Amino acid sequence: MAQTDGDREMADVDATAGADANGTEGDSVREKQRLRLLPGSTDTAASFAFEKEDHTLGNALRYMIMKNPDVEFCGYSIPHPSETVMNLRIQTWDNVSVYDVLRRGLSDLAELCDVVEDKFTVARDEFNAAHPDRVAAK
Amino acid sequence: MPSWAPLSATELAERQRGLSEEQLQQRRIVNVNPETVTHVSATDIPGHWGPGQDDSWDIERFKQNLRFKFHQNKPYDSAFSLIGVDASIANAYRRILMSEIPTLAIEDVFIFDNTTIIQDEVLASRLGLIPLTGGQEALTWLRWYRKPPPKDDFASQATWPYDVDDNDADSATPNDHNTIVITLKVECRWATQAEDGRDGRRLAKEGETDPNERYVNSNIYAHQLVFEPQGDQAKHFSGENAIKPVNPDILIAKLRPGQRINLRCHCIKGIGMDHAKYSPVATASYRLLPDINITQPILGADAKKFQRCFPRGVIDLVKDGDSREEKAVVADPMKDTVSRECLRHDEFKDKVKLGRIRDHFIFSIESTGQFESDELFLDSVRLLRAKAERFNRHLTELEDGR
Amino acid sequence: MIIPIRCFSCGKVIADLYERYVELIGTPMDAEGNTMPDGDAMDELGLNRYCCRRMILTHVDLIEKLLRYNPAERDIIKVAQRG
Repeated sequence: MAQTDGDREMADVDATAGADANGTEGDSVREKQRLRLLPGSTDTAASFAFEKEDHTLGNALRYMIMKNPDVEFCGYSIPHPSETVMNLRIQTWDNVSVYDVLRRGLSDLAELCDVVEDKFTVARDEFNAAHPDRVAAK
Repeated sequence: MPSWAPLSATELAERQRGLSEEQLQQRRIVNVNPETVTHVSATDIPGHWGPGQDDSWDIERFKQNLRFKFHQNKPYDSAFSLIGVDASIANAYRRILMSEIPTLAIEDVFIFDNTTIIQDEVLASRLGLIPLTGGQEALTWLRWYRKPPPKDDFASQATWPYDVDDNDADSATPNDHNTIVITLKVECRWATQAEDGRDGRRLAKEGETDPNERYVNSNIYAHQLVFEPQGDQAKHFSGENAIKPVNPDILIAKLRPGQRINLRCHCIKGIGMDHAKYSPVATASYRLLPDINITQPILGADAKKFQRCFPRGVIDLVKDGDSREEKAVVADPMKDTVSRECLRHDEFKDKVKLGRIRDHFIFSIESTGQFESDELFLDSVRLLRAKAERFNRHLTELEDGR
Repeated sequence: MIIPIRCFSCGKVIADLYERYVELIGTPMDAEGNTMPDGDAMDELGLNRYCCRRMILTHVDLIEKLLRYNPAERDIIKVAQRG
């Protein structure tokens, strides 16, 4: 089995958040760390290894990070097809921390998904209301 | 700041005047030329157009530019335009739809008896491909089952414990929270007067060739699979929510009198990445909206010929105002296939430019019937979001541990 | 041998459509005994893509022949031939 994602992951998010709030977080709800820093990294130029990720997250995240003007370079690669690891390289201008850049990229991506979800739901509901047979007139 | 070259005074003045709507529109187009395709990459990266333009990420601007337009929203077949996102994002949604949204399918088949002419392994493979459905909430209640790797697969044995979910200690053993049991026990026999009101043997002697008349259970269909709730499952999967095949008429096997099937299946939740049978979609694809730009009027007989270069409905002929000649206009670029036929004719040279709009994705999602297509797209969006959030948490952990 | 459950290329379920397809192309539609053309039958079943269409169109239902090798049927056939 390759992945533990899916709707269970959503449940995990809530579970962890709840545990944090109650201050009763035990080791049992800890997720496995899937992010590694590759050797030879500095604060402004670092490579991260994302375990069990592929082009899906790699390319989307690369785009979001490249949208940041503080970023000199961002690229990703999958070093070997039979290892489920995705490497992401970030280099920044002006001593900006790569961690901040990566964090901002990830939260921008999450924010983008929220907007897409909202807009999609609105558009769908409007369409369903206007077209009882659910096919646009052509 | 980045090391791009400073602009000259005239260049700067030009930049500050701003871009016309046409120029902005031109940047959205991928050019489709007779032999080549150019301007393929997105150009909305900060620095690409120099310091005069701000391309950095802005959620408000994104919100304004993002649009959805539905073309069809049938439960299991929906088509819509997603306008205003980068290809990397649209592609992430498509990839998630195909390979990361979990569904239920038969994974293990225990065959007690199979005397049919369909071999065990073929039968098991056929059973696995049947899409199963049940109550949506109940399906999300189902947990993951981590199947231990085969004994002779040393490579996956070496990495296997990695996959076991720490939060669910029982995930490596089948139990009522992660496995659904389905059985199939059928035997084909001659139709008899006593049980079926017709004597199959006599009919056969008289020359009846229809197997459905001569025999009973000669065709085995998916609706003959019997769901057997285990433990807590009776509570979650009852009545409407019972596990059943999406298409009840799937032909599983054909039998003749005396042949028997007796088997038990274990169904688990899985993702399309592991096996295509878990993929919730038959097809999830997008294409870019074609763009046909007629730069000089195409009139008369040429217009008719131009129209014939495209699929029906793409080009309309209208009466030109001054002359009584017909003029070709673009009616519906969505129907175009971008065959480039019009670029092969000299009379249309320099009169038409073909292209595709880089950020206009025409999605089409055909579900296999377990979930509705529009819900599947929403799931894929939520899943990408969950991925981003998960790594945000992991990044915090990484920084703390550093 | 027997109709595959899904289209090899796209994954659409086709095993439930084959019997209906055979019925559609085998039943006379008009007084002259014309049957429905294959293409129309596939359109009616909702097989739009050419990957799914080839699954149905090119399938050879060999299982019907293999099913004849069944001892339970042999005596009946013998009796029929004798009588």
